[in-house]
Amino acid sequence: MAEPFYYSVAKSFTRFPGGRRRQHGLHSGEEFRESIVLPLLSQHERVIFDLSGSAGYSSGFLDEAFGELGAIFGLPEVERRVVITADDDPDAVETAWARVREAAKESGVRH
Amino acid sequence: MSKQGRKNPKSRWGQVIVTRDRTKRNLARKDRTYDSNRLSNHGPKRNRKFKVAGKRRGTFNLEFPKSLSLNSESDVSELLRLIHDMSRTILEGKHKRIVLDHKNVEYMTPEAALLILSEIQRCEEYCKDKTEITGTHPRVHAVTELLDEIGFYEALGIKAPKLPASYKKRTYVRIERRDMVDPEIADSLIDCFSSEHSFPDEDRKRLHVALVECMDNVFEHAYDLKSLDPYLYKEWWLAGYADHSDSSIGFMFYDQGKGIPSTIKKKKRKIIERSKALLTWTDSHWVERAVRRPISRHHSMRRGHGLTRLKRFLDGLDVEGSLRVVANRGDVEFLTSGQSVSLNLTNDDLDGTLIMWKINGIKKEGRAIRHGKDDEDG
Repeated sequence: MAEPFYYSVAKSFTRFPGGRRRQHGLHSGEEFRESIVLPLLSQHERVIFDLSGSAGYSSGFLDEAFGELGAIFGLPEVERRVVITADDDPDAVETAWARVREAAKESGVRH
Repeated sequence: MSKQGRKNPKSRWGQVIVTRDRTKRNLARKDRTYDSNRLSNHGPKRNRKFKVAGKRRGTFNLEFPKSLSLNSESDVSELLRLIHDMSRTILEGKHKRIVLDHKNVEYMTPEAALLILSEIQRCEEYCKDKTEITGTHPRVHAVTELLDEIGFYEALGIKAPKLPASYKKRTYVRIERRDMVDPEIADSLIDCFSSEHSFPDEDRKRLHVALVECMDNVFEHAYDLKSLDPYLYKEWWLAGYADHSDSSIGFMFYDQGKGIPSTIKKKKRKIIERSKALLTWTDSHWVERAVRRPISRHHSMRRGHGLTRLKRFLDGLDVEGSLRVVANRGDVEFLTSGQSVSLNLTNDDLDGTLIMWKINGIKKEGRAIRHGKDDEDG
């Protein structure tokens, strides 16, 4: 199995993640999902998203960036391919996974 | 000045440009007229369905009351009445010049200044070519100082009067006005708080997130695109302070949208119509409900966490503080003791939602944290 690809949000995207949608301002969750998360998942089997070092993640950002993956791929697939980690922000990791689970449940995607 | 204007002063267009430039220059020299866009880095989006019509004549003097605050029920009524009078006079009064007469104001709180400023900016945006909005300075230095420090004069592009050097300053985060989510403003507000109290990293992130969610909520819920009201779409205002004298910090966040109760009632209309109990709910009930548990128009557990998060953050701090939300006719204050105080405004209502968050008497050391899980209610 190939090594997972490591991506640091604070170093490679922004230290100040924004809101939910692109139209809400810069560095939104939607922008992150469309321009970073989905392209990375199409290139790599497994990706580690490191949320450490940022000022803080709103639940709108996390929902749009990661939660939506639950609706697109389904929970088992996301759990298999995505690792979310943060040394300094356990709340963000917990919220991101809660949103993935809720999105998968609400969309009813089964894989 | 355009080159055409300089080269050929007799040309008609040149003359128009020269005259316009002179007028602008004179007004700038006098520093008298309000120019709310001087510091704004974006063009506010007006509601095109709302028109300011009619020819405008004469000057109208709008006298401000002695006390402007949200401290008691009568204060709230008086302030909201003033804001409505101001808006009605400027937008519908057909006056060429409006003088906002602050002379008699003896007491003003930052949240009152924020509401008044936002209303002036809204009115100015809708009738800047038709009505000139100007004002007088308060006689009481403390009020002038507050207005100066909070950035009232700066935001309106007018020169602040000189103050005696003896005044002790609070540290204010000046009024910021944006139409997008701007996490760096949240960060600068928390930096200001750090002069009085430095939050541990974990708490700093929580407060930062709550502020960003307030901004995000404005886009999700606040403004109704179908409305005929004079909105400045997506616009929000934020101001904060750190007071050394009583070791308190706080911020105020305001949007001029529909207000939480109106938004919920519209989105949940069918559910409310089916329930006799919900039909009797006051605006305060709806505000309290929205703060205690997320309400989402999408019937989704994934949305509507902003205010709930802000309250949970406050509850987790082992200090005295409050979260107060005023929207439409609802006014609810949540205390760290777990109690809440509700008030139903009977005379006037607030356009939009005002969130006031503060903590007092901060202990410098040995603070206990009682955070629950982030998604307990979700």
